[in-house]
Amino acid sequence: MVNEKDYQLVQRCLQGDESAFEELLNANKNQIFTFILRMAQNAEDAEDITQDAFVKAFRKLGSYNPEYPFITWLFRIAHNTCVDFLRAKKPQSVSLDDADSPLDVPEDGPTVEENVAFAFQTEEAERLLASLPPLYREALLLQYREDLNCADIAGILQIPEGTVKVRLFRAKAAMKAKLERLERFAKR
Amino acid sequence: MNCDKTDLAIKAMMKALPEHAPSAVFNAKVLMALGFSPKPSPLQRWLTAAAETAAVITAGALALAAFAASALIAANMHGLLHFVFAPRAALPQIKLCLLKLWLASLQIPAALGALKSLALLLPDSFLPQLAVSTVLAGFVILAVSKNTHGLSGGRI
Repeated sequence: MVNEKDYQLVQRCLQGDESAFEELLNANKNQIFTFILRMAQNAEDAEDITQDAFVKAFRKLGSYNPEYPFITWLFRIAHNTCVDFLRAKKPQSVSLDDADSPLDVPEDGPTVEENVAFAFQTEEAERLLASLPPLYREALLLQYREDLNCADIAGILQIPEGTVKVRLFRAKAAMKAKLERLERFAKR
Repeated sequence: MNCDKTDLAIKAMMKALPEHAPSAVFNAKVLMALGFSPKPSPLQRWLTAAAETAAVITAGALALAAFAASALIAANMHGLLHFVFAPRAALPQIKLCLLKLWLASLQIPAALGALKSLALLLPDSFLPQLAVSTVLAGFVILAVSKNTHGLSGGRI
């Protein structure tokens, strides 16, 4: 399904219309910046990465396929730019496992919903998200914050859909374990 | 473990996370990187317009001054050429002008003092008449001195 508004804007950009570039930028920059900020964990780096991502996207506008939403295409470029930047900055490999929250969780204890409420009150949500491994964090952000389905996420991350589902399952389990430990720590 | 409720709770938490915006200069940086010139701020536009207006006014004033100067030069071409080809001959006239200026400058403090005393003596209603008569006297002096200069032929 073609998004007409995005398609029209892209066409104007390809004709060199500066105002169309600025319109596309204003429509998408906050979303992309917020995602990259939560991945890079540093505002200065996030702004540099976001800037690079948009410059790359605008230079490759001719390759955009209007069959897919523009934001999905933009997220893919943003994700790749972010990965390249962070790898160049910190070349060690990213771990899939989260040593702080093993996947086996206890059966008893407060409910996750109660802990989520606690996280809201104590503004722990950002910290919890930041403590997840990057591969889990990006999957959660793209599904729960950006409302993308597994197929779109697979396209953005350039991995099979099955891998996306596995990462999402592990990400949710890791988040649940962290939320449970958060409540137990608070009760001491 | 109720997966649906867990999913919903985590989703609600993620959704509630705030959105952030890049810095105010972000757009300008991206557009400049793409080769577009940055748009000036309203203050810059005002300053540019003010500078352009000042330049136009200055150019107009210079044009007027150049016109006046060329008119003066054309009117006094004979005297100027005389000065250019025989500058020594003009020296006495220049000396006379400077002497007159110096003598006039000596009179200024006394004249101002007299004016001040007069102003204090006279009632307020006489001040406008005093101002007009001062200006008229100035014109008379100017006209008389011109005639005197013409009669003497410019020689001391």
